[in-house]
Order: sequence, then structure tokens, then C-alpha cells
Amino acid sequence: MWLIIRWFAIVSCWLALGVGVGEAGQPIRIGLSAGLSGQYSVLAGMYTNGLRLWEKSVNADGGLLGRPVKLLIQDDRSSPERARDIYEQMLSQEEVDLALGPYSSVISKVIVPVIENYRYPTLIAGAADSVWSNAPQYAFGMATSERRWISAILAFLAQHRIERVGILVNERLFAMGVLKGAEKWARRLDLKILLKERLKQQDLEKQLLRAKDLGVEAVIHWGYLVDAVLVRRSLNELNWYPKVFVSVVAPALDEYHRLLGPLANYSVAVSVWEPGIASCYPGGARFVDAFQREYNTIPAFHAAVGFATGEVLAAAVKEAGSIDREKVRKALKDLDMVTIIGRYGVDPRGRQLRQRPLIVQWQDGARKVVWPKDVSNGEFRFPAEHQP
Amino acid sequence: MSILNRLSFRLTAPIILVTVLFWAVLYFFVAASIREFAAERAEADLRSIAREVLSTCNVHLDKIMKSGNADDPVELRVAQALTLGDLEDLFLEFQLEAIVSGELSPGKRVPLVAPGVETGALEQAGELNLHQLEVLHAGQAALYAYPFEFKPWRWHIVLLRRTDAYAGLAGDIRTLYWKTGGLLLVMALGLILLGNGLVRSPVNSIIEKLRVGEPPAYRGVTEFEYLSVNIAEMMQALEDREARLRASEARYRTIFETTGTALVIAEQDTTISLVNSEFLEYTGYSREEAQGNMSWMRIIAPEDLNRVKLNHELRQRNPDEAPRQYEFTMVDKRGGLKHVLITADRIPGTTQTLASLIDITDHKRKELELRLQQQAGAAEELRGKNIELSREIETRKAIAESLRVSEERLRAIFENTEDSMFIKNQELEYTHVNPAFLKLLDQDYTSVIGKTDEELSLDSDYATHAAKLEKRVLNGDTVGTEHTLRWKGWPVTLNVVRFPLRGSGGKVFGICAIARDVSDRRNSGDDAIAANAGDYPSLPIQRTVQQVNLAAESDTTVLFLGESGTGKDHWARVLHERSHRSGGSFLSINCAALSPELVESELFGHEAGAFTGACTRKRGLLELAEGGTLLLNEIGEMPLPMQAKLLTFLDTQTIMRLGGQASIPVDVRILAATNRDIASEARHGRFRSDLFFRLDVFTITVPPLRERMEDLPILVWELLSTLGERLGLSEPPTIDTKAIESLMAYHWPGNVRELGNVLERALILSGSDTIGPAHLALKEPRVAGTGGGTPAPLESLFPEDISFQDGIDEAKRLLIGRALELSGGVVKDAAALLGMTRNSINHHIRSLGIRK
Repeated sequence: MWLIIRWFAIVSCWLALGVGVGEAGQPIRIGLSAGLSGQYSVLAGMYTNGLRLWEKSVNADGGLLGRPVKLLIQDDRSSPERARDIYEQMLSQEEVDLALGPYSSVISKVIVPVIENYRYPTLIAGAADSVWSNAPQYAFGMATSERRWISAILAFLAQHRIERVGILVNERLFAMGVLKGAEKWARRLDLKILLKERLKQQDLEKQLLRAKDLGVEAVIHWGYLVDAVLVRRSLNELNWYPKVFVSVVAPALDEYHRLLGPLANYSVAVSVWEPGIASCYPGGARFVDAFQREYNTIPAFHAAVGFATGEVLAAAVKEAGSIDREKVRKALKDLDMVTIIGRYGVDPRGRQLRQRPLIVQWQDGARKVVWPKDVSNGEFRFPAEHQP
Repeated sequence: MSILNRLSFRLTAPIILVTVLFWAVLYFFVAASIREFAAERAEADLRSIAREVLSTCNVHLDKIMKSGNADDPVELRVAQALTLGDLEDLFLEFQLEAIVSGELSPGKRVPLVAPGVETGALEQAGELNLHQLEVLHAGQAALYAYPFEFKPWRWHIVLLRRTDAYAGLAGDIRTLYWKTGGLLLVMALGLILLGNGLVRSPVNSIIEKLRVGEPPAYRGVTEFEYLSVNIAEMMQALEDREARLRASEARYRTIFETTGTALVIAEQDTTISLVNSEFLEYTGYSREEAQGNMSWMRIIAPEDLNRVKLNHELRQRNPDEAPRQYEFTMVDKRGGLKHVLITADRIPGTTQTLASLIDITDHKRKELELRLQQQAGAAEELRGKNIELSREIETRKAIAESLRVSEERLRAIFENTEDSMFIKNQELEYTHVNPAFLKLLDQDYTSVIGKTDEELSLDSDYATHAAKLEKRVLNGDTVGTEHTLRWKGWPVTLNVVRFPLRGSGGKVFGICAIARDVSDRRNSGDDAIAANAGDYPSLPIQRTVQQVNLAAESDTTVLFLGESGTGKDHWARVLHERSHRSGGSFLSINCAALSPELVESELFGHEAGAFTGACTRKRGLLELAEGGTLLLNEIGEMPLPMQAKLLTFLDTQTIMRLGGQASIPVDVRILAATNRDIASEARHGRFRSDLFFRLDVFTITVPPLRERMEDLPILVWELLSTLGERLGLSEPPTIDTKAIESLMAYHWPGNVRELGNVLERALILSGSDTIGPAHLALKEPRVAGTGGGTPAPLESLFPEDISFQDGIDEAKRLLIGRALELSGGVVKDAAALLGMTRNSINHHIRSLGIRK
């Protein structure tokens, strides 16, 4: 009898101890998908590298709430459908404790209903307003929304006395309504949008010639890297050099210059962050240094966004004091902090309000921040010379 | 348990019930507050957001101001656009709609930001009052609207939030309110039911059963305990009360019987219900006779019966109004009369009257004796007082008689004096005038009294001038002036002294004035001067007369220049007489004849105590010449400090007495005369140049006699007439032609003054005969062709070795001695001969040691 009692006591103690150790030592699982392959691979790679660096950093500091952090990144092959399936599986089965958004607005938009359904508070790297069009409760933006990008570009052009602009938009983004506020801002800034069309690769030259005939002074391209390179080359082939060529996002990447060489000079882009001004925000310079050491390359803004996403999630968990998703959601909703890409703060829908966009320009093979003035590290070169 | 029960049933339940009722009633008052609560909350929220919005706008404004591009329209547009972007974010963050409109031109606003705002709200938003929360109705929705402005950019911003957003809040408060009230009600009802169920109902039923002889049924120990305790307490209380009543009754009965005063208790119908032994002894009735059978009116004497009855009835109707204590005459059983003081009052809660009777027969007798004694004493005292009073009446009569006599005397003076006298009140209306004044005005008493000078249609200049002076008098000054006023076309010159009338408190209540008609005096002297001046044939003097006439038309300052003795003061007087100031005084002062200290006092006057010897206040010539003219003779001799003071007067027309503190405005025309080259004096700094320029406005040069010899015969005739009049000759003096020739031959260095002296001396020497050349005693004949100014040779008069000062003294001695000789030792006449004052000649006689 005594033997049975002793055995029972030992087993009970072991179970209790074992379960306790398991809770404390188990990593916090954070899941997401990214286009590690496919058309967004470059940018998504940057994004995930930023996240990986944060994971390493936070674990080196003792983890979150005393637990290590483990990122579970799945390749969505730059496909929205694939991404939706991944999130559906991951969240429905509670394979992860917390979730983060994928790269690109297009993919983010499709996973929002899933995170809403399973009530996973999720930080989204994408900036398209359409992601928040259905007033989600669990999606929180990291980067300033795109409507701020168009307002920044148009304000920048107006400041340099540009009056007539033409806009070509990637078809998929056009469908998402990325240029919703363009007319409003043009009206406010007294600019004339003489051309606003979906970019059609086969008719690109015709579109550009039409813009030239209309007297467009600045061509704005709204799309991805491939489109941007195509437009820049077409302009060159047409031997037309508008006063300003702006391509949202793409010229903010080193890839742009690598593909275009000197032709990249004078191109202007909107960026969320630039390594050249990393020291403007706390921890920024340290991040650039660590990233370079880790990946042997200079981080693009996507990487910084990735790292900042991790910073915000960590702060929210600390604020919540647990990984309870509702508590984390509330913390994300109310959080006001400064990350390496600037300030974080969302509106009641979860859209990013406080982070500010930058405008960059390629100058002699280097990317310089030319706007806003208080963080710029180069003067805007304007108008573009005929032969860069 | 018992305590708890009592608390529950007697205290808590009613309190809670009242609270619930109060709660329900209170709702009518707080319902509106609850409704308003949502609006207040919305206003607080929107105000807070408005501050955030303005802060955002200011950040952008600061940025563009700091950049130095505030004037660049493009930069400004960009800054405003970026601000609008930030505001949109804010509106999103705070989940509200808003309208931001800019002012394109005054009154014309264009919406800059209005996302999702319904057209109806947009239209109404433009007409809202700033900083006031209002409710807009757009379509189905009601919106709280809070308008304000960002003035630097003339943005009109209206924050809009649906009222639904706060509906839940008000509902929650209302629900909480009613729940609390309901809970209290339930508690109250519960306690009341508990009370009724456990106590009242069992107690009532137990009592009922006890009455019908049934044994009571109890539900439990608690009720029994409660019932027992209550009954026991009730019984004990009744026993205690009975014992207290018995003790009290015994106490009062003892008091009633032993009080030593006759006491009676009577019913409403006056029947005696209770008496004490004192009463029986006092009235002579037995207790059986008195108590229950007898009306207490029976012991009242017939003469007092009605009064006592009335008092008794009044006490029954209104005890407060009935007299509690009075006296009456009592008749006892044996028919004896006694004076009684009765003190009666209603016994509270009954219709019975308790009365105490005190025999005051002895007291009344003593009182009567005392009163008789007092009356005798009072008569004596009264007689003494009457004597005193009659003495006082006599004294007062004497005073009144004295006053009457005094008043009669003053009235006689007032009525019979030849001087005109009048008294005016503070409104400057005549209140008293004497017959002389009425005669002067040729008016009757009633037409003057109560009227002002203006209403009497006196000369308007006089009325204005007099009013000005009289206002000064009302301020405490005494003013003496001369006025010439036109009355029925005739000039009437009055020398008027006005002084203030003061009440016992020293306050001025009116003006008294004594006016003397000096028209005759003036006509005999000054008018003659004015009339005659101008009949001289010589051209130089005619030019002078023209200038004088010209100057007389204006009020400007005039400077007379000319040699000594040419008659500058005469022409100044002529000027005065021909000017509009001729009604006023003409005064002159010789600046050379007075010491510098005296000049100031003479001109400006002084206050009492201004300097040693200034015992009383003195008015200066400038004040005395009010409304007239003041001639400053020998202005060149005026001390420099005085010149500065005179200049100030000329600039301000106000003076300040020596030692005085108030500026006094005076209306005086200043004329100045000198025989010195004052322009040269001014150039050399011996005369203030600014005063010179001030005086040199109009200069009249009086020619010397030698340049107007054609006028000499007329002058001789005028002077002899005047001298004859002055010396009291019965006939005008005459002069023969030879003497005239001698006069014409003389060069007249002393001008007209010398001519006057020569003629006066000749008149005295001639002894009323015709003046011949011998009487003239001229020094030497005029040297033909010299043009005058050559002095008489002195060599014949003085030895060569004499000093200058001794020569002067010798000359003075000779002249004064000669004059005394001519005047027969009469100093006054000698002074007249020498053209100097009596004081001056006396001074010289003393200093030179001349024997009269």
C-alpha cells in the first residue's frame, strides 16, 4: 500500500514539474507566410530577413516573457491564394501562438478575413488602404498607408513647381484602388493629372508618347520593380526625359540600380525607411550594422519594416503581459512607440497613422533621401538630364 | 432583536420609503440632466479633439514660418495640403466626421475636407455659432456639431459626431438610476410588510382576543416578547402619570389655600366654583354660600360692575386682549366697600377664570395723600419755572427788540443811502435792492427782484462782464470795479464794490454790492480830455491823434514813446477813453517811482502774510483795472524779474498774487510808456527783448512840444483853465500876448509838463491878474534854428570846480528852494510847481538839508 502511495506521489510531482517546465520553456510561436519565391521574392526576402534578425535579437535578450521566440515562416510563392490557405491552416489549427502578416498588400488583403475569423491580432507590413476597407478588428498596419504616399509624391512635385503629371498604375494595384486620393490631392495642390491609366506592357510606349504629347512634366509609376524597370527603359528608348520620373517603391531598392545601372539616376521613389537616415530613429544604426553583418548586404526598407514589426509585437506582448490574443490585440490598438522606422500608432481601424513616408532619388549611383527636409541627406536633382 | 425590530419598523422603513418617493420625484428634475449629460460629454470630447486639430494645424504653420517660405504661395499650398492630410488622419483616429472649409473670398467658403458628410449637414454647418455644440439633422441621422476656426488660414472647421454614439451612455445612466430606485422601493416595501406582518397585525388581534376573553395566539417568541414589553411599559407609564397628577393636584391645592391672597375660580357664566379661605374671610361669605351658588359679580360695587363684566366677557372671547390686572371697588357681605386689585386670567385649556384679589384700600388712601402733597410741591416748582420763563421771555424780547432796532437801522441805511445797493443770490438774481438802485435803473421793485442783469436788458457787455466778476465773488473774492453801462441811451458809470455774503458755516450764499454813480466825476474830467484831444493844429500831434484813434479801436498793447513831459500818460488816457474800455478803470503806475519789490506788489497784489508787513490781502493794479486799462509808465525802468512776470501775464492774461496759489484771470489792456530808447535797451540786454517785441505791437510816438509850437496857444488856454479850476479861481485866468510870445520863443526842454509848471507858477505869481512875461520867469529865450534840446547854460549857475554830484545836489537845492519861495513855503504847491509828488519833495528837502 505504501508503495502504491509513494509511486503515485512521485508520478504526480513529475507531471506537475514537467508541465510547468514545458510552459515556461516552450517558445512563443509566431507564424507568417512570405513570397520567398515568385515575383515578390526579393522584397519578401528582405522582409523576412529583417524579421529573422529581430528573432535573433530578441532571443539573445532572453526572449519574450521569459520564453524564446520562434518564427514559423512559410513560402506562399507570392500567391495570395496560397497565402490564404497557409493562414487558414495555421490559425485554424492554432499551430502558432501569434501571427504576422505576409509581404505585399495584395496578399495581405486576402489573409485579413482569415485572421479576423480566428481572431489573431496581426501586424501587416503592406500599406495599401484597401487592406482595411472592411474595418477589420485584428489587422494593424506597420508602414504608413499608401494614401500618404500619393500625397507625399504630389506635395513634393508641387513644391518643385511641377504642374502636369501622368500616372501609370500596375493593373492589380489599380484594381485595389491605390490611387483613390490622387485627384483630391492634385486638387489641393493645384496639380493637373493629365493621364491616369493602367500600365499595359504591350502598349507602354504608346501610353508614354501620349503622356508626352499631353505635356506631362512628371511621370508617376505605381507598381512593382519589374514594371518600374520597364517604364524607365521605355522612356530611354523613346528618348523622352520628363522632368521627374517617380516610381513608387521600386527605386527605393538596390535592385533597381543593379538592373538599370546609370539609367537609374534621377529616378525618384517613395520609401518607408532608408539606411542612410537609419540613425534618425533609436536603434536604427545598430540594426543596419547588425543586418550587414548578418546578411552581408545593406538592408532595404522592407527589412527594416520586418525588424520593426517584431519590435512592435514584442512591445505589445510585454504590455499585455501574456500572449493572450485579445490582450495583445488591445495592446496593439493602444500602443504608441518609436521603432527603427519611426513612430507606431494606429487609428481605430488599425491603419498606421504615425509613421511617415520618405522620398528618395538615385544620384550618381547612390540613393539619397530628398524629402522631407528635416531628415534628408541629399538635395533633389531636377530636372533630369537627357543623358544620365 | 427587539432593537433591530424597532429600528426596522419605526425608522428604516419610513426613511427608505421617503427616499424612494424622493427618488421618483427627483427623476423629473434629473431626467433633463441625464439627457444633457450625453451632450456635455459630446461637447467635452469634441472640444478636446478640436484642441488636437488646432495643435496639428499649428505644427504645420510653425514649420512653414520657420522655413521662411510663408509668403511663397506654392509652399503655403503644400503646407496646407499636408495639414489637411494630417487632419483627415485625426478624424479617422477619433472616428468622427468633419468639415474643413476655407475662405476663398470674404463670406465665400469652400469645403476642403468633408469625407462622408451628408449634404444637409454640410449646408447647415456653415451657419453654426463658433465654439457652441449644436445638433444637426441630416437625413435620418442627428449629429453633434462643434464648429471652430483656425484663424491663420481662415479655416472653418466643424467636427461632427453622431448623437447615437452617446445614446448608450445616457441609457445606461437612466437604467442605473431606476434600478437603484427600484431596489430602494423593494427594500422599503419589504420592511413595511415585515412590520405589518410581525407586529401590528398580531398585536391588534391579541388585543381583540383579550377583549372577548379568548387566549391570544402568538406566532413566535419574538412577537410575544415585543408585546409583553410594550404592555408593561404602557402600564408603568399610566401609573407614573397618575401619581404625578395626584402629587401635582395636592401641591396646587396647598398653594391655593395657603397663598395668603384671596383666590377665586369662576366659570364662564361668572358662577364661583372654587374659593380659598382668604377669599371667604375677605368677603364675609361662607364656603357654602360662595362655591357653586354665587356669581362673583355680586361682590362688585355697582359703579364698577359694567367694567368688570366687560373685562370678563372679553377674557372669554380673547384672553390676550383682556386686561390682566385692574382695580375695582368691592362690596362685602356686610355692605362694606373695599378697594381691590384683581389679577385675573383664563386657566389654559378651560373656560374658567382664576382671579386673585388684593385689598388695596390702605394703599389707595396713602396714594391719595401723597398725590395731594405732590400736587402742592409741583405748584411751587411750577411757579418758580414760570418766573424763570418770564425772565427768559423778557430777555428774548429785549434781544428781538435790539435785533429789530438794528435791522431798522440797517434797513434805514439800505433804504436811504444814496449809494445803490443790491443783493443777489447764487443764481445772480436780485433778491434785495434799495431805492437808490431802483432810481438809478429807473425801475420799480417788482420788475427787478428775481431777475438777472441779462433779464433786466441791461447793457449786454455790462451784463456779461458783471456775471464774470460775480462768479469770482461767489468763489470768495471781493471785487471793486467801475462799469459804464448804457441805460436808455445814457452812459452811466458805476463804481461797484462786490463782496460775498457768507452763512454761519462760512459758505457763500450770495453777493452784496454797493454801487456809486460816478458818471458826473468822469464826465467832468476824462470826457473832457477825450473830447478836447484832437483839436490841435500841428501836423505831428494830428498824426499822433490818428494813431491813438486807430489803437483805440483794437485791444492790442500800445507802447508810447516820447521825451519826458510830452504827455504820454495824457494820450494813454485819451486812448482809454476812446476805446470800448472807457467804461472801466484807467490806472497807471510809474515803474521808476517804486522800488523793485513794491512794483511787484503794486501790480500783482499780495496775500496776507506774503511778506513782512503784508498784514492784509491787497489786490494789485492789474486786478483793480479789471475791464479797463493799465498804463505802465516808465516801462524802461521796470526791473528785469518783473519784466518776466509781466510777459507771463501778457501771454496768459492771468495773475497770481504774491504768496498766492491760485491763478486769477483778469481782463486788462496794457499800455506802456517810456522816454528811453527801449529798442536799444533791448539790444544791449538791459530790457527783455521778448517783452519789447510783445509791447512793440503798436507804437505811438508823442512829439516834443518844440515840434508842435502851433498847438502852444491852445495848450496854454487848456492848462490855465484846468489850473484855475484846481486853484479855485472864480474866473478863468488870462494871459497877455507878450507872454504868449515869450512862451512861443522858449525851446521847452521839459515839454508840456514844463509848460504846465511855468503857467502854474505864473498863475500863482500873477495873483489872479493877467499873466505877463514877468510872471513866466523863463530861463532864456529859445535859440532860433536849433530845433530844440539845447540845455540851459549851467556855467552861470555853478562854479567850475564843483563835482558832478555836488552840482546835481546844488541844482536840486536851488530848484526846490525857488519853488518853496514861490509857493510861500507850502510844500504841496512847491511839489506841484516842480511836477513831483509831495513825498518826493519831502525826501529831497530832508536829504539836502533845505530849510522850509
